[in-house]
Amino acid sequence: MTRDPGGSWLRVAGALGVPALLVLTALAAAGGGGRRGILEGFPGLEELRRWLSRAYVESQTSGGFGDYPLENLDVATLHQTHAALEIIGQVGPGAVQSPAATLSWVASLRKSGGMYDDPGTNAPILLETLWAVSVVRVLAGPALEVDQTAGALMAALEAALILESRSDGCATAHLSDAALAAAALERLLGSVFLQTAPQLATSREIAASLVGRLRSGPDGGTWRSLEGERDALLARVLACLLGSGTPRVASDILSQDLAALEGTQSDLPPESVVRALLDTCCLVWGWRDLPQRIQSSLQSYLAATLHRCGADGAYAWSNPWGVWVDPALNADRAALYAMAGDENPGTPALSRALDRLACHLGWSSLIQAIPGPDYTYFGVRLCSALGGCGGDETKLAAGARATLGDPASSAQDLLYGFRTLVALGLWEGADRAALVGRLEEWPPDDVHRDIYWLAPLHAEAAIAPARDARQALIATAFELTSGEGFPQMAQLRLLAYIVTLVGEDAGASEREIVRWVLALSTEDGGFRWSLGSSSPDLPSTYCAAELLALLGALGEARCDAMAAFVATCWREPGFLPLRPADIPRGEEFAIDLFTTYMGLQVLELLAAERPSA
Amino acid sequence: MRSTICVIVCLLLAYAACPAWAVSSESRGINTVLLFGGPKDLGLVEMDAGARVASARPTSRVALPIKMKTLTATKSTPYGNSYVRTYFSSDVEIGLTCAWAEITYGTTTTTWDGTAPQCKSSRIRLDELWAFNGWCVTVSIPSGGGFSSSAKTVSWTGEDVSGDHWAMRHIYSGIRASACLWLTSIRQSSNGSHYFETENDWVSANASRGISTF
Repeated sequence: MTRDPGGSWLRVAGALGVPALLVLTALAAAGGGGRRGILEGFPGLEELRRWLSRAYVESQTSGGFGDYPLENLDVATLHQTHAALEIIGQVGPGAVQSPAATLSWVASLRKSGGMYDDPGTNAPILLETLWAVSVVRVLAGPALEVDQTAGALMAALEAALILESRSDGCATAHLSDAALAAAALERLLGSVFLQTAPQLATSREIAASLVGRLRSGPDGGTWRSLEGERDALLARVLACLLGSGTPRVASDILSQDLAALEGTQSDLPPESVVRALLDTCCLVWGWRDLPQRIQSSLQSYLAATLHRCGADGAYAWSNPWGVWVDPALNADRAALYAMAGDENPGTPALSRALDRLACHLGWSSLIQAIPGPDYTYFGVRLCSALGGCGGDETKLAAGARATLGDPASSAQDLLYGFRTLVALGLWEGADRAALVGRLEEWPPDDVHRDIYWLAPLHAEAAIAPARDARQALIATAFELTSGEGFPQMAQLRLLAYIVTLVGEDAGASEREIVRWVLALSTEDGGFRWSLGSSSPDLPSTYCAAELLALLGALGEARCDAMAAFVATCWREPGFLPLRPADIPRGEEFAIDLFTTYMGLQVLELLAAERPSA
Repeated sequence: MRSTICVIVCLLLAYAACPAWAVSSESRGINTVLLFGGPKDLGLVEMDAGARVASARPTSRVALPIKMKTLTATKSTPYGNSYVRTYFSSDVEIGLTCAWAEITYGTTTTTWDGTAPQCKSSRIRLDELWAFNGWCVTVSIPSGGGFSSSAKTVSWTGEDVSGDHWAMRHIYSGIRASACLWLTSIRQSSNGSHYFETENDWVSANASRGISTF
């Protein structure tokens, strides 16, 4: 048998057009079985690598991959983008990929009336508008036209303030959440866009009136109601509305906030108290002008609360698999460090987090999946095909071994834990002993339920459980009730494993299975799930390739056409379960690690088969 | 031996028939919400109530082999002097043909574990989403409040605005999906949000996990 390095693939590719040519040229370059390079030539591989790096998570002891559909990762949110830009502005750990694209995206979120809405979040639209305007302020500066938004915000602010005035009067003086948000927005707008706008003057008059009513005493020098943090927040916001023209008001507020900071009973003073200090200081004084005791208090706060952060000095999400730094949790703290001029120990972690969450339009929210054995295996295989994507092999192996040793692991978990260790080249005798022990003690009552995953486990030569255990599996198959009809691909796949388990006399049945599978192939090289299916799809083609390879019959398929079909399912940065042209109107399919792995697995099996094809 | 194989082949054909479910917009199932407001050092003391509900958990109506999986996830967000947490555990049955799946029993809990800035949450909101990736998917949802569905997703939202609680637990079953041909994956995302009025803060913990089906 002579090797034909790429010749047959290229002949097919020539008839398929440029994209397929790239794909098949890459396939040929794989050299008949090498994993690295199998995806070379596919467009968008860098994005696939980035996607995989996001799906990889690890704790101190183990690592794995979650499933994350791409659309969940690449959707920028106003909140996260606002926080990221705030941090970048303060500590400069990253850069904005495309300011124009981000601005255009933010503009697309503007609703009629000038407010902004960020689909997929539950935040009030007023806050989303605040974040949107903040992003615009950072990226575009004061030249941006925001008249409509400003008008809407002014109206919201005035309505809220007037409403509060009517409902609460001077005695209680509480502001609604809407009023607080509107006031913060007004401050932001006033500081950037509308320094001379007549609406600003109007709202300031309203705010000044409220401040006046909040203050009491002959000279108005004391606050009527500042016992609660909420009232302190109200006073601060209103004072901010009045800007630097009211240093005495600001001084009072600072004293109140400082007392709150020093008098707090918990080990972590409420972040809002610190934020209040920050806001007031920034608006009224510069850091150098602050009283020394206030500077010291803020620096003490930063030092005293460092232990609340993770080991890398930044606030983070956590779950049993580890911790992930979230920029949105760290914006205020980063601002404090920046103002104090101190080195922020969380900067490196924040920089990594920003890189991880950056997408074309802005920054996405941190939605981190819990890894599973199945997606870990898919991720390991895809990373291998890409020549690596940052996963720690030692931790991946530790995660797989933890799966094998976990009594709660399902048969599917064990199968993929095993496959992960094999894929990493770290399958060892002790692993086999542990897995064989599990399989041989599998509860007989559960064999029926778990047969789909147990069959491939028993069929693995590297595991080879005791023959008695295999016989129990086969016996279970006999207990199943009979039925009629042409088998679907999933049944054929299981059937192939069962037949393999039975042994050397299974040749005739193997031929029957192969004929059934080949009957599901289509003219364009793919396979259907059943005879009733109208078009081929990737899951069916993946099942067909695996079971034909298992039965040593992959060479009987039209391998060139099969590879060409798989190539047409590619849509950056992974494989869709259908060819894009076959997707019915109204149907949507997610590209995830599993569907992408399916495409890779078919191509690898075909590449391994190619020398004998 | 050949006859043995033929028998196996015939018997396994039984899998070809999917469970004969009548796909409908609503199905019978558990849909219960528990709220917790007692002393935190005693934990979720009303878990006994949850256990009673669990004892009524339905068993599979499918006699043929199925694939059993469990979706579990936990997420914590630091806030104040402790954490906002969300965690879930859902039992999933998947048809051998990969053409259907059902959440047969699950619980999702979101808690505020701290005492500062306040001991109880002013509001608690739980948003849950089950997404089924497959061809020509139809979903059915349990009857009762809070559930809604679109083409390939089922969602549920519950909210407590009393200000008297620090944890919410959702117990559910009967979330189903059927596909014309196959389902490739199922994912659950549960986002627990707590509002702290004294700070004017919403704090969320979003737990998420996906599984493959074959």
